[in-house]
Amino acid sequence: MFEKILIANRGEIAVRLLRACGTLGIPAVVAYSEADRDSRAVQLAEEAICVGPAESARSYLSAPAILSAAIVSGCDAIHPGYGFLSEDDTFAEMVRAHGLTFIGPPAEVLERFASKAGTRQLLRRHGLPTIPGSNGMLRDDEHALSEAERLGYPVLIKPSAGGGGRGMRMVRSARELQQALTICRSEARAAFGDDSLYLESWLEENRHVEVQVLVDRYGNGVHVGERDCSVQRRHQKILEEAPTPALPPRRRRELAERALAAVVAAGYENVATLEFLVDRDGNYYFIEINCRIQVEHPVTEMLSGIDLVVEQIRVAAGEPLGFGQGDIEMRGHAIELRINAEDVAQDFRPQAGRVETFLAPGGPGVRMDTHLYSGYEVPPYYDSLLGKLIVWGPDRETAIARARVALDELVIEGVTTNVPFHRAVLQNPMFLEGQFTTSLLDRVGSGAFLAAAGRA
Amino acid sequence: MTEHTPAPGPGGAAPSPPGGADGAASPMPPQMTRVADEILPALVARLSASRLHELEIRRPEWRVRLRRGRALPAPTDEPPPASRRARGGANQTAPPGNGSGPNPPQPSAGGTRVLVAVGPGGDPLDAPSARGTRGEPHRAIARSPAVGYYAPRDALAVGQSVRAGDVLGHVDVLGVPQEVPAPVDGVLGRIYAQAGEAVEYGQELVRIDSAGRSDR
Repeated sequence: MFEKILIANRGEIAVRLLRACGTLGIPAVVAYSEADRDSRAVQLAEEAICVGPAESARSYLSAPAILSAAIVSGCDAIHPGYGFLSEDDTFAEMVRAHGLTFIGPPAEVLERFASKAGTRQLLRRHGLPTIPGSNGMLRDDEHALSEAERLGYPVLIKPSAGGGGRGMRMVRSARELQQALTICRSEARAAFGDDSLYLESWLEENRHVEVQVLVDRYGNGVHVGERDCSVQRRHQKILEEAPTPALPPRRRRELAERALAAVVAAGYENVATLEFLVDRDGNYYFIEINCRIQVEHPVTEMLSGIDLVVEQIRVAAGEPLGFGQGDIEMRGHAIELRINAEDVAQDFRPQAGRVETFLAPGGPGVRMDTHLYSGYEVPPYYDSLLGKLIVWGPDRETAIARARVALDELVIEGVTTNVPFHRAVLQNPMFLEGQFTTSLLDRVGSGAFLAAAGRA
Repeated sequence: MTEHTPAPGPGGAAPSPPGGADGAASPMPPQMTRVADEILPALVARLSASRLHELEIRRPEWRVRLRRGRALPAPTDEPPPASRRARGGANQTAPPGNGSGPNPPQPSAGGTRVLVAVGPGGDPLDAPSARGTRGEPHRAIARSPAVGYYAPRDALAVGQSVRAGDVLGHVDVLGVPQEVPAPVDGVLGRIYAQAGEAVEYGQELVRIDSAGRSDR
C-alpha cells in the first residue's frame, strides 16, 4: 500500500480524496494553487504544498508542478481526482517514469481509450452497441458534411478529446453544421488542447444512463450498477439518480453486465464509467467511457455501501478486488443534486464571491460532499461546483421527499446558487414520473421551466 | 489623511487597483475601513506631534506601520497580505504586487507616508514593502517561481550586493532549473531557504535590503 499520496485536485473532490486517504490511514499532501490557499482541503490537510498561481494551466494542469510537488513532499502516489490531469496519459506516464504511481488506469490503458472516436470502435468490437456515427474523426468540413448526410440530420458534433459539454453542438441542417464546426473546434481547443471532432446521430428524447465498473490489475471486474443522468442543461449534468427509471431491472442488469464484459475484454484497469444513451424504446447505445472517478460517484456509493475512491486506491496499489459480483447488493434509491454557484436568472452565469453563511442539511440518508464553509471566498478561476447534496431512500418517492427537505435545510448565503432550479426539477411532473430526457430543459428553456414550477 | 490614489512610482507603471482605477478608494474589508477612518488619522497625528521616527501597531488581523519621511510620489503597488501558514507546509506570503490589498494613501506635504498591510502579523522586519523612500531602507523578498529543490548560487551570503535581475540561484523542477532572479537592487539581508531544501511555489527564499536609489 502507498506510503503517502499527493492529492492533485481542488474543491469538493480534494476533500473527498482526503477522506479516503484518512480512512485508509495513508498520509496525504494537498497540492493547491495560490487561489486555493484558504480552501477546505488545505485547512483539513496535515500537509499542503503550493504548486503555482491561480491559473489552472500553471497549477492543477501543470504536470511538472504536480509531479515535482509529489516528489519533494515524499509521496509515492498521486490521485488526480476528476478533470484536470485525471485522464492525461502523458502525465500518467511521467508519473510512472519517476517511480510514483498514478491512481487510475495505467498510462497505456489511458492512451488506448484517449480518443473517443477510437474507443467507440474498440468497444463496438467488444460487443457494445454504439450510436451510429462518423467513421473516426472528421478530417475537414467536407468530410463532416458528407458524414452528416450519410447519417441523416440531426447530428451531434462532439470533441474527441474531452467531455463536459464543451465543444458539443446539435445541428439540424448542413448550414447549422458548417457554422457550428468552427465554434466546436475552438471550444474544444480551448478546453482540451485538441480540436478533433466526430459526429453522432442525434436521438431525440433520450435518456443518459451510465454504468460504474471497477476492474483490478488481475482482470477481475465488477459493475456497481448504473446511474441516470438525464437531467442536463447544454450537455452538462445537473442531477443524477440510481437506479434509472428508464429501464426495468432485468435490462439494467443486462446493460451493466455487457458494459463490464466489454471493458474487461478491452483490458481496462481501475474505475470507469461507461455512458449510454437509451432511446424511448429502451434500446441502449454506448457513447463514451470516462476513465476516472466521476463527480456523481456518491450516488453509487449510497446504494452499494462501497467506497469507490478507497477501492480505486487499493486497485492502483496492486491489491486484488476484495469482493465479487455476488457480494455486491444495491439497495434503495439515491439522488444527487449538483449545487453550483450560478445565477439561474442570468442564464446560469457562474458566480464568484464570499459565502457568508453555509449550513449543511442532515438526517437519515442525507450526505453533503462539499468544500464550503462560512466565510469561504469562491474563487473565479475554476468551475462553479460548490458541492453535491446526495440523498438516499428505500424507494424513489422517499428519496425525492428527503431531497426536498434537505434543500430547505441547506443554507448558502452570499453567492447565488442553482438551488431554485433543483426545487423546480423536484416538482416537475416529467421528473416525478421518471420521464426526464436530456433535451427537455434545453427544449423547454430554463425560464419557462422555473416559471412552471412556480405555478405548481 | 490624504486621498487614496495610486500613482506611478519609481521603477514602473502602477497596476490597476482592485475595484477601480479612477482615483477612488478601492472597496476595503470592513476591518480595514475602521482602521483607515478612525485609527490611522489618530496615529498619524500622534507621530507627527512626536519626535518618533516610526510607529507600528500590530493586531491579529492587521498591522499598520507609519514612517516619517520626505514627501515623495506614492508607492506603486499596495503591499500584499502577509503570511498564512498552512499546517505543516512552508510559511506563505503572496508575491508582491498581486493587487489584493488596499491602496496606501499618497503622502501628505508633511511627509508622513503610511503603509497599510492586512493580515496576521509576521516579523515586521520581513514584511515586503513598497518602493523606496530616498535614504530609507526597504526590503523585497525573492520567492520561489516553482515547486522543487532550491539551489542558491555559489557563495550567496548575507551582506552580498545584488542587482535587480541577478540570478540568485535556481529551483530544480524534475531536473529542469528555473531561475530565481533578484527582484530589486540591494544587499542580501536574510536567507530563508537552504541549499537542497524542498520549496513550494511562492516560498520566501531570500530577503534583499536596499539603501534606496540614487538614480532612477
